Amino acid sequence: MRKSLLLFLAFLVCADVTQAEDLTLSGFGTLGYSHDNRDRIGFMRNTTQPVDEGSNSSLLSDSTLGVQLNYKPNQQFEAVIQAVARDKKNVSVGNSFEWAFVAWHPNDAIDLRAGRMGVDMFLIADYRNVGFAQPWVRPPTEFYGWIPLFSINGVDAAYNFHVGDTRWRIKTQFGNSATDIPLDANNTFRFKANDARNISVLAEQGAWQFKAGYSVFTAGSNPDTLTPIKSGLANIAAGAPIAAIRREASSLNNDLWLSGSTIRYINVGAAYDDGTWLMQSELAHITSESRLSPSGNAAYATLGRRFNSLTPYVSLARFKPSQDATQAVNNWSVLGATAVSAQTAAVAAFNNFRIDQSTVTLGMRWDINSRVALKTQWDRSHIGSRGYGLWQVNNLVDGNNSQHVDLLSVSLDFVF
Amino acid sequence: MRITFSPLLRMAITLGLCLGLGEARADIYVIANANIADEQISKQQIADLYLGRTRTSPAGDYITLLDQSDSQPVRERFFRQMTNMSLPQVNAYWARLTFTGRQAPPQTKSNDLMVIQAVSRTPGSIGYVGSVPSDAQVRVILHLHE
Repeated sequence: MRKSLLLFLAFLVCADVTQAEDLTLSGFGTLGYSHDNRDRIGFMRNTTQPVDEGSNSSLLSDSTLGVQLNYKPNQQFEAVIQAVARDKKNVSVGNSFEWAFVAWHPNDAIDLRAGRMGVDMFLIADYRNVGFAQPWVRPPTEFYGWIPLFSINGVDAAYNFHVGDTRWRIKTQFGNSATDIPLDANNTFRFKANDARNISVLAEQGAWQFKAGYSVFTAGSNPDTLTPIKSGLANIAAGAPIAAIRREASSLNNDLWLSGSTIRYINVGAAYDDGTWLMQSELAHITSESRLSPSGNAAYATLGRRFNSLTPYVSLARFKPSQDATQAVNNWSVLGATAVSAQTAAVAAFNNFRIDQSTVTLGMRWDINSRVALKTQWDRSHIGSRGYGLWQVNNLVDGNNSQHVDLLSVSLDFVF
Repeated sequence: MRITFSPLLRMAITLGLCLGLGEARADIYVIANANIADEQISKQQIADLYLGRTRTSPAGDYITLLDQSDSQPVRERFFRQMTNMSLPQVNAYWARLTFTGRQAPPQTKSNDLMVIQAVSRTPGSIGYVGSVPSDAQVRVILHLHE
């Protein structure tokens, strides 16, 4: 079975190279290097990356290789597969095929797709892996680093029309998604998003692009690591001799859940590119019924200017949490070490996912030729106390401090 | 009366012809398979096709687009004239369309002759070349002067 699949893929590739005009092979990639100036926290581009808080630099965080095959037997049907190798905790053949879908274009106005597709959230979520198509080394992590959905198994439909010289696109997606999120060096959490629905409206006119969207889904799983913490809390809530501690344990236990909670994003964005100046800005309001998933407001604004093949840019980004950090209320040491560790673990679990940070970015893109760009970027991030959700950190030891982190990055982006 | 040219004058005329030819080469011809209903297609409509904004001609025919490779100077001139974008910008733009699965990239041909051959044998196809096409199956639908 596996052998025949390989043979089939080899056939597709050979067929493309030799003659077939209905097959197109294309791809994209990034060779990236990043270095941060803090020993006890590690940079990650998104929350799917392996936990390694001790390392200062990485060749893997931003490096990517994607290959896509389009099969277009006629003008109305299309089949697309895209395989992407990027730094993530669990790599398998299944999750490397980020996309595999068929598309039907019954007329010029309607696009229908079914299969596994990119999540069309915000301005650039469905090409966040493609460095060459972006001004920066990576999309602002305050806006794109925490999204727990990459591809969606389901269907989508888009309707395109124009009014005067403004082109409109209304699109909706429906499906399920699963993403592996590492919790620490040993534990990985398979985050399931059930009944994910999103709708977006895009308007393009001249150099301007505006997009507004709404997304909603239900978390479909709990991290396994919660189970022992919850049973410990339940015991304390039932049997501790002090009422205040029983109440605290009960409250922590009640909040310590994710599965079944509804998560919503509302977003607006604008982009401008007249060939010389480029501007891009987005705002998002994130709500979550569970305190184990970030909620708050995210925003960024980027300004760049092209001087022939050089494009310097500046960017500001912020994620402001809407939930307060969780803190231990009572001293549980009277109940023994096991009770204290249950309390500590519960408090850390809430704060692990909390994001409180802002970043100033200065960078430069150099288009070496028409398909290769070299970028270099300096980010200074300020991370608030118990707001390390976008960093690899030992929250028990270092999560309470607020601090600045400088991150230097270089990337070589290409398309073929 | 016999007209004679001195060698120097002959060189000048040859040079002049070459320069003239060079200028002719700076023109861009947008060509279509003869089966396409439209006699002419406007610059804006061609730009919309090559930016993936539409899949059909004004008359409603599905269009198969043909592109040239980056190594051909005509590609840079074509997109500069049509869209005022440089090649890196065009390629970044198409990377967004392609890798979001919105549009398959156009077939790329490595020179004018191959574009003309492909347009000639593919009904509903449109391409662009930097030289005057002389193929009965191919029609010029837009002539861009530089």
